[in-house]
Amino acid sequence: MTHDVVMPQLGLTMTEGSVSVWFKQPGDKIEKGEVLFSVETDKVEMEVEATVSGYVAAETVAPKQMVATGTVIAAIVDREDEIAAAAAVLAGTLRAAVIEPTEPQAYPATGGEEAKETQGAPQFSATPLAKRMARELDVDLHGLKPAKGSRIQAEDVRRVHAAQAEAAAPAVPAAAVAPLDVQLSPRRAALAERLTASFNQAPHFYLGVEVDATQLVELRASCVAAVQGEEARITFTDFFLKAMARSLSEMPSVNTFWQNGKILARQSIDIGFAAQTDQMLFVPVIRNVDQLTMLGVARERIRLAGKARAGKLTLAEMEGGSATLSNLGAFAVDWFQAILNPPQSIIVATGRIAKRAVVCGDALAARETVTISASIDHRVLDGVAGARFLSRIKELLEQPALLIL
Amino acid sequence: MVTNGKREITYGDAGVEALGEEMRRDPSIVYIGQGIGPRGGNFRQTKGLWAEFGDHRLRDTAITELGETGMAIGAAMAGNRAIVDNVFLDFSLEAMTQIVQQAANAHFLSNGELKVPLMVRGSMGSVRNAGVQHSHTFYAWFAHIPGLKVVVPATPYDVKGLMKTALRDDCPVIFIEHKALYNIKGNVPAEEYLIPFGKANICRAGTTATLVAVGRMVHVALDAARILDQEGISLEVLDPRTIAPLDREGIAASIRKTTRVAVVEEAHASCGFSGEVFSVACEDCFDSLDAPPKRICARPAPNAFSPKLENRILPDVERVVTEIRDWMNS
Amino acid sequence: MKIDKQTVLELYRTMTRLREFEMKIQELYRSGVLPGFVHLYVGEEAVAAGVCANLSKTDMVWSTHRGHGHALAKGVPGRQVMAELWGKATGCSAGRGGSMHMYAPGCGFMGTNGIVGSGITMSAGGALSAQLRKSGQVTVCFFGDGASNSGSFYEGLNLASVWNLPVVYVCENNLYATEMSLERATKSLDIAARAAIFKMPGVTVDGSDARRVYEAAGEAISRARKDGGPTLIECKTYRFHGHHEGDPGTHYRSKEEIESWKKRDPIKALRESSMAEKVAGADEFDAIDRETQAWLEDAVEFGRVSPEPDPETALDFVW
Repeated sequence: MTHDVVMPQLGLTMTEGSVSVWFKQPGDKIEKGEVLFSVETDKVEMEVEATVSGYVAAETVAPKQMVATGTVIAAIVDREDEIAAAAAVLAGTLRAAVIEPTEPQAYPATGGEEAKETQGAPQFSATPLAKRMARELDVDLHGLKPAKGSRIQAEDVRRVHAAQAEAAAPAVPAAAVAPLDVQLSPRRAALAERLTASFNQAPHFYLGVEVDATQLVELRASCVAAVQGEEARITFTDFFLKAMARSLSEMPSVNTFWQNGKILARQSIDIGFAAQTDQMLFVPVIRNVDQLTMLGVARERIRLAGKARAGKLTLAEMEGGSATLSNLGAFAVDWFQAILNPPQSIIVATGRIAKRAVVCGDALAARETVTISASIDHRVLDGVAGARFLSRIKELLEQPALLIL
Repeated sequence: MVTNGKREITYGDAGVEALGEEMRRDPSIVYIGQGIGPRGGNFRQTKGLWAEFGDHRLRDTAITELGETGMAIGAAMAGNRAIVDNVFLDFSLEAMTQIVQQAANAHFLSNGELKVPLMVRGSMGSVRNAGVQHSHTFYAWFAHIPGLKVVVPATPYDVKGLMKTALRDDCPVIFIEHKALYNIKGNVPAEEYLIPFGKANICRAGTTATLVAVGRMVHVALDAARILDQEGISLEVLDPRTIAPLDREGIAASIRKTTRVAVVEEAHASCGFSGEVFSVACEDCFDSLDAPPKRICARPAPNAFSPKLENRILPDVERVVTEIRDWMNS
Repeated sequence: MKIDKQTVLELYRTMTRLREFEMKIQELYRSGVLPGFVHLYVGEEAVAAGVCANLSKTDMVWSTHRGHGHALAKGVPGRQVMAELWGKATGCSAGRGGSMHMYAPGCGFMGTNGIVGSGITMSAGGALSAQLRKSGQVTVCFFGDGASNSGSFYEGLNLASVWNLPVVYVCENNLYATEMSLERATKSLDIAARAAIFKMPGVTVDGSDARRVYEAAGEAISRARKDGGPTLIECKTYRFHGHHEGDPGTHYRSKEEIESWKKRDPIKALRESSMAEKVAGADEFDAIDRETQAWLEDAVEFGRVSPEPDPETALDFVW
C-alpha cells in the first residue's frame, strides 16, 4: 500500500513551503515517528515525521523547491517490493502537482514580448498600472499575492521591487565581479515583504526620550545577584519589557493595532522581542508579560530565544501582541528607530546604557542614561497617546522599583 | 454681499448678472421663454431684466417648447443671438428635434456659412422631491450630439463665467443649471471674467483617487472627500464644468496622478457621462489605472416622489463615502 | 390684377428650369450616379415660382424635403444645387447636406429639411429676427399638407400670429403625406381655414396656376413687409411622381387622378393661357426652353466635373 506524504500546512497563513532537508532517501526504511524531512516556510523551519512505517518510495521535490501546501512530495510504501511501482506512479502524478501553475490563468498580456517571457501565469490579475510598473521595474508578477483585494496593485509591485532592490544591493560593486546570486530563503523573502509592506503602508511616527538609568543599573545588578542560583540571567531587556507591559496595561487604548481598515484591541499584554540568530531575525512573543515576575520574563525570553536559534519556533509563538521591543544595547548603538512589526502598532527601540554627561541642577554630572525611541502607527495612535505611553516607560525605568512591586 | 473682501452672490443671481451684462453688450440678444418677463423667471433666473430690456428683448411665450425653441433657432440663424429658456430641462424634450436636428447641424450643413448663436437654458436635477417629470438629469443626451456644447455649472462663479462665454459662442450651447443650487452663495468677483469651455476645475486637490462630478454632485463629492480625508483617503474632486467639449486631458492628468477614478452622478449610469469619463481612463491613461474605475450614479429607476424612495435612488454623501471606502479597500 | 409680360415669362422660365432640372435628376439618379435619395418637385413648380418671384435676395425661405425647386426659385444657382445633389465640394453645402439639407444663406435660402414641419417654427424665428432688427425682410416657409397636421404647425402659426411676425406660410397641399391622403389624415380638409384659429388671413389658391399663386403670395408678402403680420396660403397642387424617386406613386393614387392633374400641368397651362391671351408668343416660350436646356447642360456638366470633397474636411464646421 502507498501512503502519500504532502507538504504540510503549518499555520493559518502558510500557502507554500519547501523541503530544506530530506533525512531519508528513496529506498530507506523508515519508522513511524522518524523525521522524514524538514520544512522551511516563510516563518519557521520545522521537522516532519513519518506517520506510517515502511519504505520511502520516492521524493519528488528537491530541497528549496517551492510547492503549495497539500502537494504530494513523497510516498511511503508498506513493502520493499512496492517501491518501484509506487515511484513510477508518483513520478507521473507529481509532475502535475509541482510548483508552477500549469493552467494559465486569465492574464491579459499587454506587454507583448515581455509578457510572453514571464513563466507561467500569476494567480492574480494585475491592474494596468501594476503591469506597467512591473515592466518598467522588471518585476515578475508571477505568483505575487496582493496585499489587499483580488488584484495586484501598484503598491504590491513597489513592495516586491523594494525587496528586490534590497536583495540586489550587494556590497561588492557589480562591475568588479559577477553578481552573486544569493539564494533568498523563504523566510528572508517573507521578512523583506513584511517589512516593506509595513514601511509603505503604516504611517510611522517616531518619539524619543532620554532615560536616567542610574537606578535601573543598580537594581538590575541586585536582581542578578539575588537569583544567582538560577540558570536565567536577568537583563535590561527584561526591565524594558516589564516597563512596556506596565505602560500598556495602564493604557488599554494603546494596546491596539490596525487590521483591514479597523482598529482592534488586544485582550492580553503580549510583547514581542527581536531575537537575532545567525541567519535570521525572529520576533517571538512573550505572553502576559504584565503577569510575569521579572524572573519569569527572563525565563520566557531565554526559552524563546533558544528556540529561535534552533529554528524551532512555532507560528503561534510569533503571532499576536501589539508591541515589540528591539534592544541593540549590546552593541555600540546609542539610539535608533525601528520599523513596525505588522500588524503591531508600536515598536520600542533601545540603545546602549552608558555614562553620559547630564545637566543636574546647574552642573554637569556623569549619569547612566539610555535613549528609548518608539515607532508608532499613526493610523492607530496619535502623538499624545504615544507620548503618554513613552513617558510612562521613562518614569518606570527611572524608578525601576515600581516594576518589581 | 461682501464678506472677507469677497463678493458673495447666489448661483441664480450670477446668471442674472451674466445675462444683464451680455444683453447690454450685445443688442442682438433676444431671450425667449416661459415666465421670463415681468415674473422674472420661475427660478428668478431673469430677475429684474424685463424692467431694463422690456418685451422687445424678453419674450414671454405660451407653453410651447417646440415652438419657442424652433423660433430661437430660426432667429439665431437669421442674425440674432437667441436664448431660449425651457425652464425645466425636462421640457426641452418637447423641443429635442429642433435642438438635435436643426440647431446642432445648421453650421455644418451650410459648410460653415450659417452661425447658430443660441443658448438653450434649462434646469436639471432633483429638488424638494419634485417628482420624476421635473427632476431629470439629461445633460449626456445633448453631449452625444456633435455640434452642441453642454455646460453644467456647479458654483455661482462658474455660472457667470461660463454663461458669458456661452453668450459669445457662435454654436448652440445647452446651459444646464441645477435647480437645487439656485440659492447657494459663492464668490463672484465684480470684475468681468469669462471661463473657457473645455477646462476642468480641480475643486479639491488630492492624491489617492480622482472623483469626477458636475452640478450638485460636485458639492456631494466635496463633502464626501472631507470625510474620507480623515481616514487617509485623499480625493481629488474634478468638475469638468462643460460636458462638451470635455477636458479629456485634464481628467487624464488627474488620473495619472491619483491612479484611480470614480464618477459621482445624479444621472443614470447606463450609456451616460460616467462611461465617457471611463473612456478617458481607458483610452488616454489606461496604464495609470491601479483599480477598475468606479461609478456612483443614480440607481436605475425613475426619480420617485417620496423622500425615502428618492433618497435611495440618488447618490448622497453617505453613499459616496461608503462606496469609495469599499472601493479603496478592494 | 394684370400680370405683365416680363413676369409671365419669368414665371415660365423658373417653372421650366425646375421641371427640366428634376427630370434630369431623375435620369441621373436612375443611372446610379447620384447618392442618397430624392423627392422630385415635378407638378408643383407653379408654387415655388409664383411665391419666390415676389421675394428679394435677402428675404428668407425655409424649405422642405421636396425642396430643389424652392432652392432654384429662390435664386440658388443651378450649378450649386446640382453639385450638391452629386455630393460634390462645389455644392451649395459643399456636399455635407445633399437633397434634404442644402443651405445657401447668401441667397436667403435657409435650408431644405428632412424633418416635416420643422421650418414652421424656425421661419417664425427668422421673422422675429427681421422684426427685431427692423430689416424689412420677409420669411417664407414652404411645407406640405402632412406638416399641417404636426404640432409645429400650431406652435409656429400661433407664435407668428401673436407677435405679428413677417412670415408667409405656404402650404403645398399635394393631397398626400407620403402615401397618406389628406382625407384619411384629417377631417379638417380646408387647411387655409385653420388660419382663422390664429386670427391670421388664410387664402386658398390653385397651385397649378402660377399667376394666381404669384398674386396671392404677392399680397401676403407685401402685407408682411408692411408689418401686417403673417398669412397662410394653401396651394392646391399635385406631384406627378411618387413620394420619392423609386416610389411609383400609384399604389395609393389612381391613374385617373394622376392623369387628371397632369392635364393641368402648370407649365403647359401658363404657356397656353398666355398665348391665348396674346401676352407672349410661342417663339418667346421656345426661346426660354432652349435657354433652359443650355442652363441645365451647364449645371450637369458642372456637377459632373466638380471635385469630390476632401475627406480631411469631414469634421470641419462641427463647432
